[in-house]
Amino acid sequence: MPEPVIAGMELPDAELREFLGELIQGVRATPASASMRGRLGMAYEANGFPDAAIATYLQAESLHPKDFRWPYFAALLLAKKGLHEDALAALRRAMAIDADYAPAWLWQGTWLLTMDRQSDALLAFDQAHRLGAGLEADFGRAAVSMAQGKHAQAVALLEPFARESTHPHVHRTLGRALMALGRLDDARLATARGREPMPFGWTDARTAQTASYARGYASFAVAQSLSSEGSTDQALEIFKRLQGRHPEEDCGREQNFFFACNLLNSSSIAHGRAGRIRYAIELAERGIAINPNFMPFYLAIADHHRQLRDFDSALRYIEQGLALHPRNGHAHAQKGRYLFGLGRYRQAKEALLSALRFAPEKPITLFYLGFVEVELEDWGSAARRFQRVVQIDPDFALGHLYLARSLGEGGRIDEAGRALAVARERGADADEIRTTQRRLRQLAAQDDATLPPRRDWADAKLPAPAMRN
Amino acid sequence: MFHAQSRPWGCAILASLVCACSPSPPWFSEEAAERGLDFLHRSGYAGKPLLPEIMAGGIALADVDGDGDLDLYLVQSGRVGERLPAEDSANRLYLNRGDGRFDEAPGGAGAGDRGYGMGAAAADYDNDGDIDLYVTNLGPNALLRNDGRGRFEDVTKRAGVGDPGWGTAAAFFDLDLDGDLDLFVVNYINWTPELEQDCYATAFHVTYCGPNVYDAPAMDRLYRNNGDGTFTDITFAAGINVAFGNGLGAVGADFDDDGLTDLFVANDTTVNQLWLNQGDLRFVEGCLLWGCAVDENGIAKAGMGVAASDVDDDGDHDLLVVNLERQSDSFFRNEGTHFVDATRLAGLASPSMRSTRFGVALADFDNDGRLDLYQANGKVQLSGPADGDGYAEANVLFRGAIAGGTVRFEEVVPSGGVAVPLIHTSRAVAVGDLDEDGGLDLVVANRDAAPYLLMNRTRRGQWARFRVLDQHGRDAPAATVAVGDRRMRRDVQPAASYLASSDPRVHFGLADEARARAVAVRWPGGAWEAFGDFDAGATYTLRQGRGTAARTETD
Repeated sequence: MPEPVIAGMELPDAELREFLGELIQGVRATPASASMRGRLGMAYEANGFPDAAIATYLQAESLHPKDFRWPYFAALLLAKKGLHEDALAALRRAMAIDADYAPAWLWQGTWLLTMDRQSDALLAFDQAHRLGAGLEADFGRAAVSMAQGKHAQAVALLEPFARESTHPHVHRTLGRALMALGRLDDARLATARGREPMPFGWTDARTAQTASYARGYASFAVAQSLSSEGSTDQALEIFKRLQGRHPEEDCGREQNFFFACNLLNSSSIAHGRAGRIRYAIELAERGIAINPNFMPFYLAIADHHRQLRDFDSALRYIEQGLALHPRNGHAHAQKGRYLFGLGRYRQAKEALLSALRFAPEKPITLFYLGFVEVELEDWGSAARRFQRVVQIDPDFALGHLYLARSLGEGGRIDEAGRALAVARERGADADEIRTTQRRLRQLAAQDDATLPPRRDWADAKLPAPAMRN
Repeated sequence: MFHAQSRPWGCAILASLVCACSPSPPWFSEEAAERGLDFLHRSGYAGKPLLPEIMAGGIALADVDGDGDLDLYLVQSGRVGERLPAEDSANRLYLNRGDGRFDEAPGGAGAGDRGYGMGAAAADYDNDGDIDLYVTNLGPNALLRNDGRGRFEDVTKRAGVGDPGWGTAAAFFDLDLDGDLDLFVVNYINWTPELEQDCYATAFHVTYCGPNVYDAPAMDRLYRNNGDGTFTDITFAAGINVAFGNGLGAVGADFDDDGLTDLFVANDTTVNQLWLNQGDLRFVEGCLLWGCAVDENGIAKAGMGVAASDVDDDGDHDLLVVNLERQSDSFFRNEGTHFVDATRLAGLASPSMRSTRFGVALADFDNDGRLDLYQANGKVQLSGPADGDGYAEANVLFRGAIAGGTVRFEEVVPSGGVAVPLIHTSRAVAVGDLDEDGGLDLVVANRDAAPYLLMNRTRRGQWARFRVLDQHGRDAPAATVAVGDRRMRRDVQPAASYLASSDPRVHFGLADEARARAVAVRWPGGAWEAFGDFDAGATYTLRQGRGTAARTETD
């Protein structure tokens, strides 16, 4: 029996070292167990030792050549390293065991395409389609068409897909195909919907178990993902385990490294996401007391106060954070929103303009800026701002709606009507559409004396700050 | 770290990490020390990783003393937040004796800026006939004006170009066609030591963080040259403010063939930008529409260095962006109105994923008429404990070939085209013929180490080289030289790669052709001028207005 592959034993991460050590011992105790080798392989993979993981998966495969997982997992890692020939060979062995797993065919198509074997890639995507991977397989087929220069065919595949999918890469790819066909306006619209740099992927249920083998820092990253996906209890369990080795008192004690601070702050955020906002605030306050120079505490605590609609406290904390790092665009944007919440519009405008100076234009920042200008009755500026919002994000329904309102108040009724039509098309709230329509009719009537106060409609619901980014 | 007692299949697979091509005679020999370079880069690492330490190491190659050969300016870093003595913090200028051997400029020639240095750009910004230097720093950048005798004066304040951010790439172009060079400066992130985080590689090895940890992309800057030695920051007026990312590499070229120089910025894990010049110093961001913002899988890769050239000889500028380990290069082939991600067609998808690439050069090293590709590598994150430099990687050389209109790059072994692979954490790469023997040499900056001076030792074909001067007598960045009825086109392109400035002269490998035929220049603005035929084996000067006005392609 082959000796286990050893990696990570000399590293300072005691938790991981102990975990790997136990698994290695397990392999030594049961050298013929493919399952033990596989677990060790998954531990190597989850903790960032891809070479050791590949070698261990291959050992597991040699012990149990009928287990799909081991050559499959090895194939995925080999492809990540750019070794597509080897990845395909391992994948073929896996698919000889189970040829009905659709994600495997999607991977095969993707890698074949990377290797410029377009016809073979198409066959793989066709097979994935037969096995139920509908949209993902169609996307793969479109990618093959693109690679073959058959852009009209790609558009035919992508257009129905794009009507159903909000995934930016679908729209971006459609945009590229349209561009190649010279349909510039359609391409612009499609690419505007594809601004976010999100890769296209699919659910691969059989790989999900690997993440549970993460320990140490790797498990911190897993926990952060869990927290942002809403699985806060699972995340907090991992944070708590890590805090056993990195207690909050260490935050800032060791001058160089802040892992204990990160753990405490991430716990605070997770509790906040779970709705335990008071406790989340308490945690972040504890963090500030231990290490007042750690800016993330201020961002977190300000956001917790915002959730409680306590904008005064939110503002106080964000300003403390900005004192530490005055060029943080995100913090300026937050400050602008809090000031808006407090009705301090001129200061809000200043803060939002600072955000634009230190961070790239985000539609939500521009939207708030436009909203501030509405409050300041600066219709021309507001209209320009909302125009920019919808230029960046043509699907931002509220952007179109407020563009209509600003244009109308500025006397540009016809343009306002057109903007309102687009807002309706993009799914703006029906009540808001009606209110705006009413107001535009009043404005069109040109009878200022009979106009109701502007606040009748301007006091509209704001989008939640996290709604769009 | 990795003891594999028994891995019968693993061995074969891991062995395939190494290219299976047959070894070729060395293309380069490393001769830095014997040619007089005693420079040692200092990142200032002192136990706690601070992001700038892993990014730095810049170079400029330019004839600063006007004697016809390339001098070498090496950018020093120092220590973040501390002012070290000059010997550990000042940039250094080395003057070429004419044969590729160097002496340090007496007294530093006033070019020893002591900021925490990143990169450099070289150009005659004041149209006085000599080459000036612009240095990007972590903190205020510096403009060093050449007095005509090879001595420099820091004129940053007067010129108004001392952007206080974390500068990376910088490039001079005449963007408004008014006869002087405007300045584009790329910034990385809004970073201060107080914002540093602790990041871990596998298993709690503290290492450098990725840029997105800070979530603070910094705005790039565009300065209009006022023609009187001063500049005006027109970033907002030009529209450059509307999008920016974690900027590292930049290159300028007329990507949309409208006669105006456009700008491409490679961003690190944020979407790239393509600033399409609309005239009158107004720019529109077009990278999403043109298909160069992300790769064909929708990933905003860790863009570092960048090169632009007409790689496939079809008359437009293609783009090559190099990225992080496990992310392939992005070779964006220009189709006239958009780019196609042709990385896999070029043979770069798999081999380029093995290293973290920074500096990059598309140049014809063997003078066979095809652009080859050199990449300077070095990790940004530790993968485990290491004796010595845990970030070091061998550099890579690809031989360029073209078949049936398709460009292919084939890896040269031994790695990097040297007899024994050189392994350091490499960053900037600059290209130029240091010993004027007709072969393009390379200078590579290495973190916490001496640079490489890679002298070209290939058995080469014929060549011709052109210095392209505009009506003011200065190099004309973004001008295009075409040879052979415009079959081959190369730009005056000192600013490209990563933190580097290369020889502005335009070099053509001619294979076995004895003459460069039908040489023509397309000047910024779009006008063509024909200069006729030139014998191979020499460098010529092409002055604007001294040729014959030529038909444009649309005539």
